[in-house]
Amino acid sequence: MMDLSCYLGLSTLLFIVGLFGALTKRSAVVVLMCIELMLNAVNINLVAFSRFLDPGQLLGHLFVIFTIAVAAAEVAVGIALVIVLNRYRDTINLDDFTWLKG
Amino acid sequence: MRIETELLAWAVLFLPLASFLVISLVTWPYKKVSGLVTVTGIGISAVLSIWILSRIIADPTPVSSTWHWLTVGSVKIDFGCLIDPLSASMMMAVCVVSFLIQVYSTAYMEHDEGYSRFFAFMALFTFSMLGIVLANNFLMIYIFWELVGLCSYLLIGFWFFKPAAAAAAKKAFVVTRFGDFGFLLGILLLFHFVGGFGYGEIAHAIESGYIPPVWLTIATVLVFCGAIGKSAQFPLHVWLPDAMEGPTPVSALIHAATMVAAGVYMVARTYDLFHSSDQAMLVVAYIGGITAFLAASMAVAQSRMKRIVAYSTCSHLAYMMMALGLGGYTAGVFHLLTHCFFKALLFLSAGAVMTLYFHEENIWRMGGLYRYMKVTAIVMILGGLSNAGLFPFAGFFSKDEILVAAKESGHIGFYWLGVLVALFTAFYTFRLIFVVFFGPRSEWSPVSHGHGHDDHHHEELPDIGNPRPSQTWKMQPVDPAVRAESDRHLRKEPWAMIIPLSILATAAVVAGFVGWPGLEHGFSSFIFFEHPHHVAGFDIPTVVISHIVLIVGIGAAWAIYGKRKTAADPLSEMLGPIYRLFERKYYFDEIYLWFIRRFIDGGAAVLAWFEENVFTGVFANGIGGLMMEMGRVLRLFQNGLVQRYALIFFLGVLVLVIILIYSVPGEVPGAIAAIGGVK
Amino acid sequence: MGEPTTGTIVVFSVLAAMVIGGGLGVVLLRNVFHALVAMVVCFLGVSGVYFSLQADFLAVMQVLIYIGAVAVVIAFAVMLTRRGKMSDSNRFVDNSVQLVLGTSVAGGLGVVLLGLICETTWQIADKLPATDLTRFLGEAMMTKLPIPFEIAAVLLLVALVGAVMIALEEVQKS
Repeated sequence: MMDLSCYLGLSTLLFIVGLFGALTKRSAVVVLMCIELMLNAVNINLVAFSRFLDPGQLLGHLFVIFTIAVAAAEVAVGIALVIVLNRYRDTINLDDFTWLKG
Repeated sequence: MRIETELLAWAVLFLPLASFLVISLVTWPYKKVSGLVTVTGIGISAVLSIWILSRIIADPTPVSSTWHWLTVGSVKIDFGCLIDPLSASMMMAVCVVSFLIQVYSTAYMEHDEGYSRFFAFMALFTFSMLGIVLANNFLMIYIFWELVGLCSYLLIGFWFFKPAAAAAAKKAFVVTRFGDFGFLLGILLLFHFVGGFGYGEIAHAIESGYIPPVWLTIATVLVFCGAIGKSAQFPLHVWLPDAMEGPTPVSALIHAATMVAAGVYMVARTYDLFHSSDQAMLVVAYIGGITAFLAASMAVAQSRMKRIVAYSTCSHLAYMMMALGLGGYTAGVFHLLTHCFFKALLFLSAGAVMTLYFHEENIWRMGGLYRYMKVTAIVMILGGLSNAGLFPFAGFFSKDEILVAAKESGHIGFYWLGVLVALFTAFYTFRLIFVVFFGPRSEWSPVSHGHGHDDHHHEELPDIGNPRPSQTWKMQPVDPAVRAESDRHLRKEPWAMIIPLSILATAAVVAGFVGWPGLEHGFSSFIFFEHPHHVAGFDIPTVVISHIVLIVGIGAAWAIYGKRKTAADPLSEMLGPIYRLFERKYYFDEIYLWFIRRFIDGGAAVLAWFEENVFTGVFANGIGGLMMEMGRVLRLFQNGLVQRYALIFFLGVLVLVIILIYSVPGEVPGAIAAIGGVK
Repeated sequence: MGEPTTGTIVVFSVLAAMVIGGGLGVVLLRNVFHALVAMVVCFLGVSGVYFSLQADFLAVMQVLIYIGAVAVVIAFAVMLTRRGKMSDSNRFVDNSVQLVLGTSVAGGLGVVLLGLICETTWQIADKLPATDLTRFLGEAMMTKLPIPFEIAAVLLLVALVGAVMIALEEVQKS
């Protein structure tokens, strides 16, 4: 059985990779993918904590189930938005969208 | 079964309120029912109040009943009633006069649009006035005091579509507010020293000397300010004549019998306070004396019927104040009660004349009306005699008592002032009566617009004031048919007016007998301050002097007006500029207006400048402008790129995490220490 | 729990390589379709990690939902929004400031978090997890947490309807 720290380290690395992608990729779809990566990292964290710190209660598992549900909803809405944006502007590059410029 | 006296008193107090609520919530669409509700409610109150008075006469021990209302810190505030000879008599007077006026109003207001509203307000007013009468503490009296002010505003401005009425209502409200402000300050000052509002507590505190004499005087004078405002005393008397814009029953109820009496009643009620400060008593006496003279002299040169009576009211109230200020407690209160009856009578009969005379108010357009409205004329003459103080009318007893009190107090100047005012009173009262009821019938005939006598919307003729003999007064040609029609109308005195008038006339004639000097169980042994004031009998010199004055006054009035041939005031040429001074009310309104224009408006201009430049310029626009500039700078960060926002967000997360690490007490984690170089 | 055996270390290393490699693939591969495949590999790795943590049910769910649903939906999105050359479809932003700052913030956060993980001592509970995991979770959902469960259901429904509405509106306009 590996240490808790190994799982946490793995989860952190995945999160950082996802964050890096989310901050630096152009395509909205890829940014969504990166956000999924970050969510997965969080899920690993939750399961690991549940396994090591609180094996009897499994609250972490329950949390992960809800996270997955929310993530699925987020992907559905996010993809729909991306498709609509694509129709409007013929592009999904995030740096083309500056409608909220103050 | 014996019903508790205080229970009866609560019933007397709350029946009018119930009438008000019933009318305003349920019966307002039904005119007749609304009138009936008020008449019934106040009628029952009147019966109960007479019952209470009879009990108090049998056993004059004060009865009180108190509900605990609220506790603020250590202060307990009660809501209670106090029934003693003073409040029981006043309650009876208020209820009975109010009842008679309600009956009268059913005829007077018969064709008015706001019939239900009128009766609702009248009931509310009666409730408020009874609250003042029954209150046993300053806070409660202040609440009802303000309520009375509100009702007065509503009723003076009852015909709010008339600009004059709306302005008069506003004037009454604003002018009395000056006094009320002082009243409130006085109450708070007393509260500061005593820690309570109850009359008893305050009397006790005065007796024990808790209040420094200087502050006691200041507080008393401030409390008296309230009475100055409410009772229309100099220098706040200017609102009362204007208040005559309201319907006549309102003038009778509010501005003769009750509300203006509230100020005098309040002084009598809190006499402990006034009695404890000689200076305050002198203030009361001087204010009373000045007002009595000013108002009586102004009444001499007025042209409008109700205004003459209004100034008379002012003058009589001042008489009472003077009596109270000179220590004539019994005399003042006695005059207050008798005055209720005969002044209500004068107002109501004036109102009856006006109702029948197509709502014309100028006495110079009347004349010779005795032939048409005999009952009204007779009761008005009775009221006038009482007002002027002829033996054995009610006014005689109370007025003479005041004169005697002035004489006994040692202030002989006030005594002669009183006599002078009595002369004026006799003169102006009979000037009114002679001009209206005797002499030639004015050639002017009120133009009847169909049956336009019943509404007040009819085209008003310009106010001609007091016509001078030198003025050529264009008369309207009178169509004989119209004249005949109007003459017929003049004879229709309605029963709902005649009956209350007759009852009031009876009271105005006989009410004085309870105060017959030397009477064993008379008025002076019923209502008194500290110890009964026993009078052995009539003070013969005073009686003689007052009757000489009376005869001179009436005689002068007869000589000048009794045989007049024209519709003009001969007095205007006899007195010249003095007449003009009286007629223009000593230019008080003009002086106040000038003062307001000059100082208040000037101050307002300064404040307006300050507001515009300092508040708006520096604070409002300055702060706003600063925010706008900051926004302009911050807007640059809003570049619309979602990833930039995310970047800033995570930068924030990073900073927060680092702050959290450092803020947690204990050893700094090595890795973090390595990054930040912190040991 | 004892020291990890060589087998566990090997399995964990392989899974970690899949996860991190997949994640890096998503970010670094030039072709967005390749990136998608890398993401699937990453999800598979995460599923394996769940297995290694004895979270069997979640592992299966991970495969079903992420690979079966999310990845497929994203594949559709990629195809529907395809522009230009596929071989250069997954680029970084042009703005170099964003690139540098993004890298620094991500790196900084990673260093701080890893440092914290190394420095922290955890109170490990020496217990074995429940064997009938699925049953346990199901009972928990139905007895202890019915309201969050229902809310999650409503959320999914709303999200689906909302997604349809967003897309549909445009069709009607055009």
